[in-house]
Parts: sequence; C-alpha cells; structure tokens
Amino acid sequence: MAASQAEILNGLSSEEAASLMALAVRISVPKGGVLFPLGEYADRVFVVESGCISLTLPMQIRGNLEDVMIEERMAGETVGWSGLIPPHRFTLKASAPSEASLLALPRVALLEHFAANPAVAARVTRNIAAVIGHRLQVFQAMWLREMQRTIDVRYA
Amino acid sequence: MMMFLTILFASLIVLAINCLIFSTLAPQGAKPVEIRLEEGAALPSHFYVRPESDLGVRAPIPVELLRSQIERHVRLEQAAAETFLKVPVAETLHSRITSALMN
Repeated sequence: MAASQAEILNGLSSEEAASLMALAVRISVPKGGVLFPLGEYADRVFVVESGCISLTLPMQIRGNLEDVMIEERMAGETVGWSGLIPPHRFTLKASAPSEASLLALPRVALLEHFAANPAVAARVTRNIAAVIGHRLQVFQAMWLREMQRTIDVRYA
Repeated sequence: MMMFLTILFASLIVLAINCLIFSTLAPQGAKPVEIRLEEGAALPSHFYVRPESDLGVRAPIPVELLRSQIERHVRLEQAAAETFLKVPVAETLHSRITSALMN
C-alpha cells in the first residue's frame, strides 16, 4: 500500500501526507498475534499497511468467552481511532489472522504535528470522523434491524 | 365279565365328572387380545431410544461451528446495513438475509 492511499490521509497533499507518515513507526503482527486487547489504554492510531486485522468482541458461547469477529480492516484502513478520541480505551480486540504490517502513529507526536499544521489537523480529523461516523451508521442500522426482528417475533 | 363291566362303567362316570369340573373352572367370556396398528401410524425408527426431535432436544453444535455461524451472521448483517447506507429506504433497511441463526 502506498502511504497516500491510506484513508486517514484523504485530501492531503503528497507533501503533507509524507510529513505526517514520517511520524509513523512500522510494526508487524505475526499470524494469530494481538495488536491490542479489549480495554487497553490507547495511545496510537494504526494504518494497515498489508495483511488484515480482525476486530473482535467477547461473546458467551456455552459458558465460555469466545472472540467473535465484528469487523475486518484491510490495507489502507484505519484501526484504533480510540488513540485520538477520549477516553482512549480500545473498545475492541485487534488481532491478525495472518501476518500483518501496520504503521503506528503515536498520539503525542500527532497532536504536536496538528498544532503546527492546523489545515492537516482539520483534514485528518475529518477523515477520522468519517471512519467513526461510518461505524456508527452501520451499527445503528444493524441495531434497528435486530429491533425489528424482536418486534416481529414478540408482537406478530 | 360282570366285574369288567362294573369297572368300565365306573371309569366312564369318573371321566364324565372330571370333564364337567374342568369345563366349569375354565375362564368364561375371555377373548384373545387383538393387536393392530392404526391406519397411517408410523413405525418408530428407534426401538430402545426416542428420537431427539421427540424430546425437543437438538444435538449440540460444535463451538467452532457456532462461532463461524455467528460471524457469518454479523457479516451478512453488516452487508445489509451497508446496502441501507447506500440506498437509505425502509426496504433496504429491513431486507432479509439467509443466516443459519435465523432459521
């Protein structure tokens, strides 16, 4: 994945994107490895460079807690926006079903960069807002579908 | 000869009395039990054990299979939600999916 293809960089010039991604640290997660567990303190935002990241939530299945995959993030997509948004706790567990490479952007470095580059801050913040808004809309629709089924079963 | 006829006659009398006694002791009005299947009645498929469906119990699904069914259900639901976001009308919001968890 080229750095300019990351969704967090939408609308930035190539120079702006390059200076932002210069803050990133490349990390790799082996197959089956955990990028971050549920509830961990979030101080970084990740961009998937290659591979895939599974986002899971624990679910009780026959008395045992099982990680159930809720979403997948592919190359170019953002993972862990809780690193920028309070209360800075990951609300999902992220793991790699196969080896994955990511670019980790530390919050402190990002905020310093934003303070020096307000236009970049505004654009990146809008991109993050788009990721959060999309998840909100998808899960809102999923919740309403579930409610509809509950009503159909209970009051049919 | 006279003695022989006396013994024979006495034996016949004893035999007649025995027959009378046994016919009196036999059960009166007893009829053989008739076993028949009702028309259309299905023969049980299991002789010793009732089928689980009769007991309202399903064979337990392996946890791995159940989890994969849940994840497939989530994917289908997300796809349906994404479709709604592209075409936000009531029909797409409540479109049906084919999930094992709902059948």
